[in-house]
Amino acid sequence: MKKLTSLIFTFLLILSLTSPAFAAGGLPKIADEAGLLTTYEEEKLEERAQILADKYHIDVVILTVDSLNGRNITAYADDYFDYNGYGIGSNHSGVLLMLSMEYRDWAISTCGDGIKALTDYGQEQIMDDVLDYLGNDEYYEGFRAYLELLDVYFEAYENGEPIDKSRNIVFDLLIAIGIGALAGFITITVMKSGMKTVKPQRGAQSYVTQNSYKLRHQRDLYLYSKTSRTRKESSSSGGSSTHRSSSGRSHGGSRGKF
Amino acid sequence: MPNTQNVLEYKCPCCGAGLKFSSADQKLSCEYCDNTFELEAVQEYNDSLNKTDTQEFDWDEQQNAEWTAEEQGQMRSYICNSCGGEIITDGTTAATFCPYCENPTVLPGNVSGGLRPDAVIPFKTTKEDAQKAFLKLCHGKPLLPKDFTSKNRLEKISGVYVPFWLYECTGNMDGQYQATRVHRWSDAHYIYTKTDYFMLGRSAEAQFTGIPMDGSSKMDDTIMESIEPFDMRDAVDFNTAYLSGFLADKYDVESKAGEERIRQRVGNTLDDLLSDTFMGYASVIPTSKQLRVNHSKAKYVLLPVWMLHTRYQDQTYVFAMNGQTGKMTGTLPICKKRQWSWFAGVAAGVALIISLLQMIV
Repeated sequence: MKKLTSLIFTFLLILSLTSPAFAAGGLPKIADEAGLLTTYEEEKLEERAQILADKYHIDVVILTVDSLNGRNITAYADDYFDYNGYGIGSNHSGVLLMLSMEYRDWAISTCGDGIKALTDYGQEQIMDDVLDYLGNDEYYEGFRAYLELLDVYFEAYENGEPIDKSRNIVFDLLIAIGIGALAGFITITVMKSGMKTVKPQRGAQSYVTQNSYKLRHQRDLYLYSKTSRTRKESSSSGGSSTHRSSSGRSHGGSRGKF
Repeated sequence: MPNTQNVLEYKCPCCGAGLKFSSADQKLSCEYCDNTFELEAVQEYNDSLNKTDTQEFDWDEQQNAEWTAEEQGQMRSYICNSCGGEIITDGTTAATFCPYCENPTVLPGNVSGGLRPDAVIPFKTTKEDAQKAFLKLCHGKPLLPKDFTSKNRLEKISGVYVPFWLYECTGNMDGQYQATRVHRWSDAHYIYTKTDYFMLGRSAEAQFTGIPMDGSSKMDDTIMESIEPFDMRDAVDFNTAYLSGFLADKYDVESKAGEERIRQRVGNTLDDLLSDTFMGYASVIPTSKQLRVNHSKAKYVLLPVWMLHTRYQDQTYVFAMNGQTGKMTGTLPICKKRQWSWFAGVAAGVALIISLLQMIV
């Protein structure tokens, strides 16, 4: 009798680990509210997204909507992800791709490990490929390509080398040699400066007769002011930039038009 | 010119050997019988010895007149009081050693009458102090050639009373400056820079006492400046006895010649003092400056300096130590091989570390 109970329990446990309904609280990975996909396409994508989520423990969500109702698409994507309870693990790892058909906006929102797996550069590369499809209204093909690419990026992340701005080895080497030469030059310059203690006196401060220094006249006259402004430049080094969503969680992401 | 002139030598009242001024106890000391004597006592003793010498002050008349340009280049000769040997010196020497018997000898003709210094700071440091200071200067210098600090180099350090002019003057500076103050702030898209422009007017005056400038053409002016300052509170009335046991020169550069350099230093000092009054400005650029320096007088003094002239690989290196404060300066030779191996070592090491960091990040 005991054996049977434990068997059932084990079965339930396995079910809970493999079934999409259990893994992320029964939430659909593909939320096609704009109705861009056929039921068959939706099922195929759902299956694929589920496999990715199980394999890498990063939730994969695709959302399409007709309209943002005037809201900011980044905030919309973050909130949809946060308040519907997406995300795997304690840090709510996940990646959400969202399309809004009204003005043909797209946005990616990343959370937890998703932020590290999809760097700014990574998102740019992925959307470069995916936008070719989305721009031609080939949504199924676009989403399929997207999920294929996620597999590549997630795997790279799991291997400890998330895909980021590529490095130019020759350039790196030149920088290393340049800094080395500079450090060497500074070292011998400092050493050389210690070799020469002969230097002329600048002034004669120590020979000023006590209390003989008098500042007879001092006037500071304000003339005019000038104001100039320069545009702020956005920096683009590697890595992932993040912001806070309305729930207070940290999200990465990017946005654009298709 | 007379071929031979009289010299001054301070005889030990005890054993008759030549006495030297000792910086340790500020008295004359005898190396042979180990006695030390007060300056005044020896002076009186030697004066009474010399009274028998009738032609004693013959030179006084002749040499009160300053040397002409031709005379300065000429050699002079003296007869040593101890051994009777002939001492050959150039026109500016005021104290030296007999080349035959090594007795300290003072040539009073160059430090009396019109050439008598107003004051002297006696040596406060010994030759051993100077040797130690030289070794300390050489210590911890990775680029120094290994064989530079040899013992025979140290032996050549000699104490010299260097003739100095001490200038007294008043400096006036009137200046106008353009100054700016910068404020920066930013909003979402722009960085704003507001620059306020000001015109500043300043006028200051200061008196200077005793700015030194060496009056010997043999001494490098820069080296003499780098061992400053001398504290004139230790200065005493000149007495030839202080020169015994050291080398000494009389001045051969007129005080007028140093005035341009003194003017620069006075100007720099007033510049520095005025720049302390520029509070809270991002930049201050002088638009006009006027400096007036009124020289009142220049005092002639002898100041103590330990000198080391030495050659290394066909180059002369000069070191000088302030005989009063012990401040040592000089330019040490640099070993090219050591320099490049340090460069290569540090460059390679740092390059390696940077490469490793690049791999990790």
